[in-house]
Amino acid sequence: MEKDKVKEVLKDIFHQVAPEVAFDGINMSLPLRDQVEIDSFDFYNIIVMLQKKINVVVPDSKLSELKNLSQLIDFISAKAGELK
Amino acid sequence: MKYEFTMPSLGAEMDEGKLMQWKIHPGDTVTKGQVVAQVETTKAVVDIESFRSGKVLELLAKEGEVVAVNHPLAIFEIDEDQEIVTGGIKMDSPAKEAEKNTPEFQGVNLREAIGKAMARSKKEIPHYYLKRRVSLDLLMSWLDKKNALLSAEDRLLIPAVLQRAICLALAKYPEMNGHYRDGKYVPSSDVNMGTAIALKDGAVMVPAIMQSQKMSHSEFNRAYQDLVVRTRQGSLKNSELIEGTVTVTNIGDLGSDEVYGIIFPPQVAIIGFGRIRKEAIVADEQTRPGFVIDLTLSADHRVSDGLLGARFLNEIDKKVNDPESL
Repeated sequence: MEKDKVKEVLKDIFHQVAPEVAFDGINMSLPLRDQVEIDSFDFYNIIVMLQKKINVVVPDSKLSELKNLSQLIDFISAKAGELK
Repeated sequence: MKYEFTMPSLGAEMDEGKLMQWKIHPGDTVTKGQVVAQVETTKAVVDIESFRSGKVLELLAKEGEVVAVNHPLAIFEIDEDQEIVTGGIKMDSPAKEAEKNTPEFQGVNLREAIGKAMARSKKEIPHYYLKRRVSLDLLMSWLDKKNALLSAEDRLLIPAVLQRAICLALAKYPEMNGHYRDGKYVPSSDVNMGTAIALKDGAVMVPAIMQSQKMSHSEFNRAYQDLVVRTRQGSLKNSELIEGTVTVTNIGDLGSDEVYGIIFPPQVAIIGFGRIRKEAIVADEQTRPGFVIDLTLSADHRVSDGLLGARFLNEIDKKVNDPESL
């Protein structure tokens, strides 16, 4: 799946999980949690919604490696590609 | 017998609450556990359940009125032989009309309330502290396999799975699960697992998953998610706020490796989850990277001692490293 498409889906999800966060203001290559007020439970929600919308499961063992949005989008995009 | 239904204390040194809405009318029949009113505290609107079954005779407090803790809200007619679960005072204590009618809601803020409760805990409870580093490699690979097969809604969350391990370990360690009141410790047969949940504005509440020992891991997982959501929506039940028998505090993934909690009275133990991370693990004379978590225990020396606490942490470690048992 195109990275831009994943980013669009992610923007929708952020809007639902953390409506107070300005998604477009997030720096894609800096650690997400340093920039926005979302906690581990919000982050799980984001992962769960990604699974619902794109059908990609992010394993727990990978979560700690996905620190910024760019890493998350790369991972989802590659996994969604494998599914096809 | 007439019975006064009173403003419950919803923990953390709450002095008063505002009656938002009655869910009952005079003449109604009430059953134990039924939600009868909504009360606003400093942080949340809480559904208040009746601890007795009976008939509503009179509603004493008006909607919008601020009522001090333990002051009457309503009069019920109940059977004599009902066992009181908790809360409530008998009819023979006089209603204090003057104190009941505080003109406006002047609740202490939650920070102050937490401060009071924790200061009391530190003054009264002789805490002892232990830490155990627990390998999560087996649990992680078990979770990865499980979650790959589960639907998104049923995805198992690590904190919920770890809490479930604690719940199972508590079965062998009643000294960690119960209430210490008036110089006496009473272990609880139920594990009402309190869990510290951060609100969006930085405050913390500690509602409990009731009777968690009866739940399967998927039921516990759902109950955990439901509790977080309801805490943030401000829709908790009073029993969830006052009947916790043990607490877990999770510092999350934001950087601290260990957290040593302060016991939440009248409980006698709090277990802390540090940050889950990869560390160098030495096994069979080899060093390899592996997932670990530092589990801590703060417990009450009036009820248990360090040796027992250490065995308890060891038991949790065993459960975590035998994921099929969860």
